[in-house]
Amino acid sequence: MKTVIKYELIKIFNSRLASVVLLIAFVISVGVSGFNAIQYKTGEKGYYKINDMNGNQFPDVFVSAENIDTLVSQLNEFESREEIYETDAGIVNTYVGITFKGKYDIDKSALLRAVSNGEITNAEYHKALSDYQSAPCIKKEYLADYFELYYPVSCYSSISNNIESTLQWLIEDDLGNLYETSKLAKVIREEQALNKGVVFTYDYGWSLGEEMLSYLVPLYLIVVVFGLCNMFSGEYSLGTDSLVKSTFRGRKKFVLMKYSTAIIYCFICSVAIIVICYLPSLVLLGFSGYNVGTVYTNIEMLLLKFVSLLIGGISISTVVMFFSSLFNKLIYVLFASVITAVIPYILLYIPNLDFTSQIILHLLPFNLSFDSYWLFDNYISIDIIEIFCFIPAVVFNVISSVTVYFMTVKSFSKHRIMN
Amino acid sequence: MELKISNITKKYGDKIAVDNVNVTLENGVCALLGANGSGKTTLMRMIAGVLGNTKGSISLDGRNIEILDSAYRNVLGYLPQNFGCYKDFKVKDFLLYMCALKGLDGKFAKKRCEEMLLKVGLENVSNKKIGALSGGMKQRLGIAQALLNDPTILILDEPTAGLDPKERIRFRNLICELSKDRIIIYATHIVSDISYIADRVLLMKAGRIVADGSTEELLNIVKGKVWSVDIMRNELESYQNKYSVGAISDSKIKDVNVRIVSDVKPDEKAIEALPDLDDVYLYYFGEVAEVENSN
Ligand SMILES: Nc1ncnc2c1ncn2[C@@H]1O[C@H](COP(=O)(O)OP(=O)(O)OP(=O)(O)O)[C@@H](O)[C@H]1O
Ligand SMILES: [Mg+2]
Repeated sequence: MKTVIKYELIKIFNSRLASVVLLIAFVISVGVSGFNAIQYKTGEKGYYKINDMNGNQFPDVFVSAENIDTLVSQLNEFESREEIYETDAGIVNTYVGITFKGKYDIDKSALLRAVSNGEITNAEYHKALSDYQSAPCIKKEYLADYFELYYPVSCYSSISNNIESTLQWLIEDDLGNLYETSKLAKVIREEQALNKGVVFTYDYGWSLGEEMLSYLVPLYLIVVVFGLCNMFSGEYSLGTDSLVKSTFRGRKKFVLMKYSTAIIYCFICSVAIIVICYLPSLVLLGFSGYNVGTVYTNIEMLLLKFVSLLIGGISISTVVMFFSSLFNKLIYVLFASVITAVIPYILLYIPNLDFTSQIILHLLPFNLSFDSYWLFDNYISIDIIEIFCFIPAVVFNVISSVTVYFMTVKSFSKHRIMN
Repeated sequence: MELKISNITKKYGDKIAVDNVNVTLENGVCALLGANGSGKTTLMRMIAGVLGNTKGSISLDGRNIEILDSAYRNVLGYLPQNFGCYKDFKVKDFLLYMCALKGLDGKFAKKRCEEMLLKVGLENVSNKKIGALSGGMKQRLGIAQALLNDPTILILDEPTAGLDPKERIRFRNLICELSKDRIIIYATHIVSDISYIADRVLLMKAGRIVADGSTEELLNIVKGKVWSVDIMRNELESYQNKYSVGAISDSKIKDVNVRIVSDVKPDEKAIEALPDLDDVYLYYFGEVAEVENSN
C-alpha cells in the first residue's frame, strides 16, 4: 500500500502537465506573497511603516468592558495634546493614506453632502481632500504610544457597534430561523468575549498571511485539479489499465490507493500554500500577536484555513478523479471538473437565496475551500476548538466521497480496454 | 490445476468477438493461434479477468474466477498485447511498483525484481527510464513483470512481438523451463514460436476454436494435403487464386517452387510434402485472407 502510494505520487509529479502547472503556481504564489509582504515592510502598502514604530514592539493591550472607559478617556486626553502632531508638511506628505485619527481629520461624507448641495465647488472639494492628505499626523516618537490606545479602542467599538446593530436587527426581524439562531449565537459569544476581555495587538504578519491565502485559494484548486486530472485517464492513455486490473490488488483497491494518494497530494499542497502565504509575512512582519479577533486566535485561524483547504481539496479531487475515470481525453476531464466546480460558485451570487440552499452550496467542493464565509459569518460561530463547526462539512464530504468512490470503481472497471 | 472456460461469448455491440468458446486448460503451454481480429486478445482478456464477458463462465479448479477474485489474480501473470507502461519510471521502479500491486513488498520484492531482470536479460538497464528502452527491451520488461508473482497461470498476448532472434530463443527456453507446473496461455500468429514448445494448440477463427490438439494431431489433419509444385512464374497468379499458397521458393526445374495446402492434388506433377504448423495455419486461414482481400 505504502509503496503503491509512493509511486502514485511520483506519477503525479512526473506528469508534464502537472509539473508545469505546479511550477507556475509555485512561482506565482511565492512571488505574490513575497512581494506583498515586502511592500508592507517598506511601507508602500498598509497603514504605516514598521520603521515608524521606532523599532518598538507594539505591546499587547487588554480590553474588556471594565477598562474600556478608562482607555477611551486616556485616548481623548492623548489626542488633545498639541505636541504629538507632526506639523512639518514635508514629513507628513510621506504619510499619505494613514488611517490613524489625526487632529485635522475631516468628515468626508459631510464634504460630499456639501458638494451635492452646491455649498462648495468640486475644486474646493478636491482641495479639501488634498489638504486632508497633508494634514498633520502623529509624530514618529508618539506613534507607538498612540497606537497602543487608538487600536484597542477602535477595534472594541467597531465590534460592539456590530453586536448592537445585529441584535437590533434580530429583534426587529424576529423570524427565528436557523440563520438567525446561529447569528444570535455568534453575537452572544462575541459579547461574552468582549465582557471577559480580549487582547489586541499588532498582528500584521498573521493577518497579511491570511489575506494572501484568500487570494491564492483558486491557485491551490487549480493545482489540485491539474495534478489529479490524469489519475485514471493517464492509465487509459498509456494502456496500463489492463495490467493494473489483472493484479492481486484489483480495481477496488487500486481506486482506493488512488484516492489515498489524492488525499496525501491535497495535504502536501495545502501545507505548501499555507507556508508560502504565511511564511514571508511572518518573517518580514513578525510573529507577534494573536487573539485579534474575539472568537479565535491566529493559530486557530490558521488551523481552520488548513482544514478548509484540505477538505475542500479532497472533495474536489474526488470529483476530478471520477471524471478522470470516465474519460480518456484530459481536456474532457478538465472541462467537466471546472464546470462542476465553478457552477456552485456562480450560483452563490443568485440574489435572495434561502439559508438552506446557501449552506448546501457552500458545502460543495469549490466553495468549501473558501472556508470562513459559511463557517463563521453565516453559519456557526464558535471556537474552532469546538469541533462542531466541522461536522457538517466532514459528514457531507465523507458521504459524497464514498459515493463518488464507488462510482469511480464502477466506471474504472467498465472502461473499455484499448491495448 | 484446471482452468475451465465454458460457453464464453463476448459481443462488442453487434459484433461477436468471441463466440461460445469451450476449452479446459491444464498444465503446460497452450498456444492460441489465429489471424488478426480472430478474437485471441478478447479471449485472453476475459481469462485474465480484465474484461467482462457477455455470456459464459471461467472457473479454476471448479471455482468461478469472479468469486475467487483476488485469490485468482494472485496466481495470475498477464502480459497484454501492446504492453503499456510508465515511460518516466525507471525499469527497477516499475517492477517494484508492479510488485506492490501484486501484493509483494519489502526485501522479497526487491529480490524478485532482480531475479526477473536477470531472467529477461535486462539487469544492465535497471536504472534506465523505460522511455529510453528499445521496443524489444520493453517487451522483455513486460514479460518480467508478468512473472514477478511466480504465477501458476501465465497469460501472454504476443509476447515475442519485437524480440530479436536471440531473445526469441531465450524466451522460448524460459517458457519451456516455466511450463512444468503451470498453465501458460500464449497467443501469437508467429507459428515458428510455438512449434517446439506448445503442448497444445488452439486455432481461433472468427471468435471460435476451429481446431484443438497437440502439434502432432494438428499436423495429422493436414497430412496428405500439403503439396509441392514447380510452376512457371506466369502461372503463379492463377494458383494463388485457386489454392492456399504457402512458401514460394526458387526452383531448379521451372521458375518457382510453391507449397500448396489443398484437399485435392493441385497438379499432376505435384509431390506430397511433409506438413508443418504453417501449413495447418494456412489450411484454416488461407481462404480467410482471400475473403478479406476481396472485401
Ligand atoms: N474494444 C473493442 N471494441 C469493439 N470491437 C473490438 C474491441 N476490441 C476488439 N474488437 C473486435 O473484436 C474482434 C477480435 O479482436 P481481438 O483483438 O480479440 O483479435 P486478435 O485475435 O487479438 O487480433 P490480433 O492478432 O490483431 O491481435 C476484432 O474484430 C476487433 O475488431
Ligand atoms: Mg490480439
